[in-house]
Amino acid sequence: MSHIVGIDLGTTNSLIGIMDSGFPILLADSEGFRLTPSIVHFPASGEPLVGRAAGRMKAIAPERTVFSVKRLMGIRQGETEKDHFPFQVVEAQGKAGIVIDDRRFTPEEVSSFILRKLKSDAEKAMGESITRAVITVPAYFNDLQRQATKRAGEAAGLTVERIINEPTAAALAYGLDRLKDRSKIAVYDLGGGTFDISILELNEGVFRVLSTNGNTRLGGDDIDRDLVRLLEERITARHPEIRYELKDPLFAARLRELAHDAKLRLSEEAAVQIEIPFLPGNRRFSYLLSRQELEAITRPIIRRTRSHCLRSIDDAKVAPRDLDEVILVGGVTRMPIVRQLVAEIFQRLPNTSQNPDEAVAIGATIQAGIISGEIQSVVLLDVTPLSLGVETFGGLMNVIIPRNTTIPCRAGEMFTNAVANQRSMRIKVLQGERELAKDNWELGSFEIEFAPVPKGVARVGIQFEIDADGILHVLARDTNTGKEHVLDLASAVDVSDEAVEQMIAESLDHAFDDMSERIWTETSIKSNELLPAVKSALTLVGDQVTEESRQEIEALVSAVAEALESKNIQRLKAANAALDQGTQHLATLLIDRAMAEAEKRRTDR
Amino acid sequence: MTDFFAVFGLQPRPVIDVALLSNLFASKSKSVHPDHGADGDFATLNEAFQTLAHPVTRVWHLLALSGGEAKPTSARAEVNAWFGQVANSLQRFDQMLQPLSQETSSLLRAIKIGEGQVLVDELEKLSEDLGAEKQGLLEALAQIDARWPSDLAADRSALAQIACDLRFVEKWLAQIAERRLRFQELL
Repeated sequence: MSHIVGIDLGTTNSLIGIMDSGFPILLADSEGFRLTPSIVHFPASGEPLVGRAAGRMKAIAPERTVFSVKRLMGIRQGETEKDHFPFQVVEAQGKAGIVIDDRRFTPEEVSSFILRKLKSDAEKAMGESITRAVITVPAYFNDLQRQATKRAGEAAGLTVERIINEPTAAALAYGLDRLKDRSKIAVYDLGGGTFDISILELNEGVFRVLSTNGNTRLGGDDIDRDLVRLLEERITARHPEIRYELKDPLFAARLRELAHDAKLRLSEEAAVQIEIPFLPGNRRFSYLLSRQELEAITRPIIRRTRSHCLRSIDDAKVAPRDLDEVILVGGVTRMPIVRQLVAEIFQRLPNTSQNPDEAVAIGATIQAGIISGEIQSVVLLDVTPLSLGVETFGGLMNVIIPRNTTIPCRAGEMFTNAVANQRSMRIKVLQGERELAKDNWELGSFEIEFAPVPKGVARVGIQFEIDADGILHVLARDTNTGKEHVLDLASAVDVSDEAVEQMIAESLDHAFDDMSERIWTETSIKSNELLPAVKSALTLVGDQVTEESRQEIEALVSAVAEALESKNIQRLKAANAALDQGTQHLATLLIDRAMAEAEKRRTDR
Repeated sequence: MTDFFAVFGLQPRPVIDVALLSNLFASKSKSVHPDHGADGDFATLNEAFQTLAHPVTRVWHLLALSGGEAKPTSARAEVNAWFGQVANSLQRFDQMLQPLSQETSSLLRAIKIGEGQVLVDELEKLSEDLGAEKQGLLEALAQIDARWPSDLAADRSALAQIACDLRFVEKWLAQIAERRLRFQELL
């Protein structure tokens, strides 16, 4: 049997590793690099370029150089971030597609080019054919995204032996030389495009995931995007005349590279000098970007990870103080501000002993070793991250396998007919945490047919099985006839539902014939909410602000009252905004007060 | 049907040591996980673990093993009495949360947070009371466990009722916990 490789198919970089004499090692390409940028360049003719060579084309031919394709894997209609990419992304039949010249590629196909290069590099390094692999995915990837990843592997000529979650892989890398230990750890994995938090229990070689949570649309790419915006503002401030030329795709691509590099350097340095000698119109631009400025835009993005961490902690039923370590994974965790946030959430300094770029690939390789039998003493018990269920009467979601259930697992549910002589029923399978069926991801639906019987008599058992890859298989069993069959989840999304919802939303928007009347109404409603709120705030916490401050606020209040009289939309909007801005400190005082009261209520109980 | 207690070598009874169960699950996984034993039945081990780890499912399984027991149609009146309060508080909370999550003005948001905090506290108080109710149910379970094994019909129907009551109480506790998290996310 051939060796099984471990592959980290990352948003920004991909890596491949193999077991060598009981140790996981990462393989390098012909230039000696273990990291292969997840970039694919499609020249006008000839084979696509993958990796560093493709990376060099990003700023030269941005419309035919695909990066962060992981963000497009397995996503549904309406989820495509078409505008964020310089290459053309389209939607057809509910799936994303990438268009280069007149060729269309699925995200799986593009990913398979990356996998093919990794496979080829490994074969050169090992001098043998590589056909089997373990590939990693974000823990929070849903069923469709996992299937897409598996297909990408198969298209690259690999048998995908296992799909494994990235934070779990990182935990394996951390725990491989701590197999006698018993401990509880958290893995905070913030990569280029995705965020995962997992909490695991290590128990003498058994790695058991207690809970996992995350966001598959949150990562370093978002920081890059906001940094680019900041630089565009700075450039425009100095050279307003070239504002529109900044949108030129070539310039935008070069600016993106610059921003990305500056971000990396600011993890080590307090400030970096940004030089743009290639500004449109032969201008130069020079700017000293400080770490503080970067942190100001980074903070709101990474703060979004906090709620996922809190949920994961809650689901695992552990308190932060019960954890022994918090492991950091993903290049973005090199940023000091990220480390501070993690320390604050988990009330301990994070463990930075793992190489944040390589830990996941090492873990995938270890899993490969477990499957091939080279590593005997380790077992990985992962979980499914999202609840699985079916739609029931009233449009609700009925959970059949709750999130964070250890996999592989199975659960059955009995269905019966709601109406006499019903010949079939439609079962819609959903994945997600929302109470309403329509707010969750639909994995597919199927029809079950049965002989006509009175209401409540048909007995069809549906068995839901989640395999070790976290992918769902459904089996139906008519208990009256004993017949069993495997069900194919129809994966096409019902396009017309989406279109109908969009139409309804639009028609409500256009209910007001006079657009300006609608805006005036909205703006004055806001004023009429703000004015009493300010009055009430001053009563509650007015004694905590200076007299000068009070007078300023009174003046802003008068400005709003006058603007209401004037019936001038712009004036009222500006007055509202000024009052809002001018009362932010009151807002903070109010929140402090509310917290203090809550505390008092708690202690009085 | 498979005796899940036997899978772990445990005596079937209403109360078990869950920490011990966890350790047994971990060590047995080593031999039956798909990565290690191609003919190992991990799914059954897993199902057994999930069933025994939670009192409600454990009790149902225990009763099913020994001939089954009718599931009560509803919780006891004392437990049902909570339902009105819980539903009411949850509904008022949800009505508060939606506009709060969409509010862009700092001042209005602060005021809404103040109002929301009062509702959260109400839910917290409910949660404490429900927690006490849950404790009471677990103690009743322990009392029956103390005289296990028992063939008494009274004990069996008492177990069934406890499981039914516990299921409702746990569901409400989960719904309240979910609201607490959603509110925290907005702060």
